[in-house]
Amino acid sequence: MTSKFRGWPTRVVVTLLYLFLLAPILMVLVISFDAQSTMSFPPRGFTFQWYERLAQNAEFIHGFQVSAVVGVGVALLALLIGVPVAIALTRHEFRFREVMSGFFLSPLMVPAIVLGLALLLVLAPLKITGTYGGLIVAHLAITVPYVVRTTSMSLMTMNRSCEEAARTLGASPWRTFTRVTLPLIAPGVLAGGVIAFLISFDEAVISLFVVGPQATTLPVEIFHYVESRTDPQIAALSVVLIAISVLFMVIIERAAGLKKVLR
Amino acid sequence: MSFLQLDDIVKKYPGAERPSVADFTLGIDQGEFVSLLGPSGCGKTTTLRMIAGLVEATSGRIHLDGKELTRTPVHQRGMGLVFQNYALFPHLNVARNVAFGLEMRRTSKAEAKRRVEEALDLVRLGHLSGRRIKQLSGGQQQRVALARALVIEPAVLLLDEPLSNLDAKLRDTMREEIRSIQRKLGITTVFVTHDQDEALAVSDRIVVMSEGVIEQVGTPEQIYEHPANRFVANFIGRANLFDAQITHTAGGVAELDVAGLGQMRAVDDQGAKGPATVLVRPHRMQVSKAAADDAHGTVETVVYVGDSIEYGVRVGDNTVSVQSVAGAAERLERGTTVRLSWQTEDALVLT
Ligand SMILES: Nc1ncnc2c1ncn2[C@@H]1O[C@H](COP(=O)(O)OP(=O)(O)OP(=O)(O)O)[C@@H](O)[C@H]1O
Ligand SMILES: [Mg+2]
Repeated sequence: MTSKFRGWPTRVVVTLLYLFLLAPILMVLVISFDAQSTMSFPPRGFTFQWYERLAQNAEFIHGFQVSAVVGVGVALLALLIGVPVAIALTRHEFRFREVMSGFFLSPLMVPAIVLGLALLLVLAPLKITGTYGGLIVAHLAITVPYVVRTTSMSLMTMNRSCEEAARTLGASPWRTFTRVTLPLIAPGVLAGGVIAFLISFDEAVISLFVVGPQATTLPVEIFHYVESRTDPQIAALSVVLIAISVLFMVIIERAAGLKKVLR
Repeated sequence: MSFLQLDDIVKKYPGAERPSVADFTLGIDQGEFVSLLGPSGCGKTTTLRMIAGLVEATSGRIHLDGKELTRTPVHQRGMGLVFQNYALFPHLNVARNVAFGLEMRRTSKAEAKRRVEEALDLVRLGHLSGRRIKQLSGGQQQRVALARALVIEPAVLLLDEPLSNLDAKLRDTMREEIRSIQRKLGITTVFVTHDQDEALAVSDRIVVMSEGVIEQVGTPEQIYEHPANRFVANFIGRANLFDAQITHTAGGVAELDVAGLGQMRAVDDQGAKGPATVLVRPHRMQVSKAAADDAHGTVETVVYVGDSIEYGVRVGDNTVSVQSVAGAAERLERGTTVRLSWQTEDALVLT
């Protein structure tokens, strides 16, 4: 009885499990080329028409632009806030450190719908709901924790004596940060930025509360679309979004290794 | 005041019960090679880091070349520190690592290039300047770290157990190399180690520490031949320590009543009185066969180690180590009853 033999059942189970997990995605891929005008299975006929219509759908294109702009803005701002916070939390001893740490990670533990409502209550009086600014602020609440986490992870695993070495070699604290610390934690920072972008790009629940006519994100447009229509255009859009996500995941994997980031 | 002068340095880490370094006063001359030696946790690294400025002293003063340095920030001290784990920058190649300190000083490109080459040649790594750090062996990384610290022409070179990650053979060659580079450059050096052989082999002076305080400062010979106390005698080399009662002292020689051995003589610098400890190194002890009623003890262990034989002789509750040159005397078997003796000049009274 070799381990090879025992490996067989495991492999079968794992393969089935993956198929089960990937089945919806494969289904979407198949349906997006289906000639029928309602989403159904099995497909009949082959067509590119849903992709062509997608390219002409003004709402989706606008939604895509809004989501992209908001996503990039969120990613940059999340880094700007998250990286210093991570440094403070991992490198400095101060009185309310635990409290601060809890504060910055807490949005991850609150249901999105609660958070969305809360943000609406806060943002409405400020009159920034329905604007890019409002969306960005709302998304920051859920993305900063990820940046804090990935950056903290890099900070904790990097060799701290490198920073001390830089100091003894004549680097001021700021130069030590830019020349040594930042390059060494770059994978975590980059991963945090990409995750922030993806989450923002994907976010629907919180956005529903704060979008307006001028600034409606793609997920919200999709939401509205499927309320009234059921043609495979939405499947074609899903395929495009999946492709974009995969691209980003490849970037993270190359930069840092997925395991490290998702741990 | 010496070139590098530490006065009454104390370091108490926040929350610690007692100071990690206490009342540390030491002067180091220009060009001197001084080792800090002591068991793990005795405060060697802490002391070194206070000199570098990475740890702030709780109290006390540090002067370099007459100028007070105690509150100078790390990056303005100009000390060259080599870390135990080397702490090379993994994102820079060998040459860029070495050039780092010069870049921080805004040295001109041409001069930096020349000095980096010089430094790498000094540690015999000129041919690897383009390598990534990951592609270097431990010994090579060690040399890069040394070159990186030396290229900025530091006032003092600080080495924190630089050899402890190398295998035994490489350790010996590297320590000779460090010493010869140090002589060549005439650079003042503080070397931290817990390895007594290393300290004895390379140092001009050794500072023996225990539990945060200095036990003795002296040349390797002084430390080995005239340890200041039981701790130093035990820590440096192997030692037999006998409890004794001084009966008479004259002309630097004490007559003693040694427990288990009877009347003996030993060198006594201090003119001590009453109870004392006598130190005799194992290779200075003599052992000879004796009739049971005349013997001090019994041979308990015999270990043959090539050029010498090591005996463990049971005297009362204690075991005395004796090292004799193999072949010089008849070999004693286990269980032999023996007498122990020593030359007066080979025994030292400790206080
Ligand atoms: N950052 C710190 N915070 C609190 N205590 C510390 C800190 N660094 C060192 N200590 C304590 O100070 C004492 C001396 O430590 P130090 O590192 O100087 O010893 P060492 O002689 O270098 O030991 P080793 O040979 O193991 O490196 C130890 O008891 C250690 O636990
Ligand atoms: Mg140490």
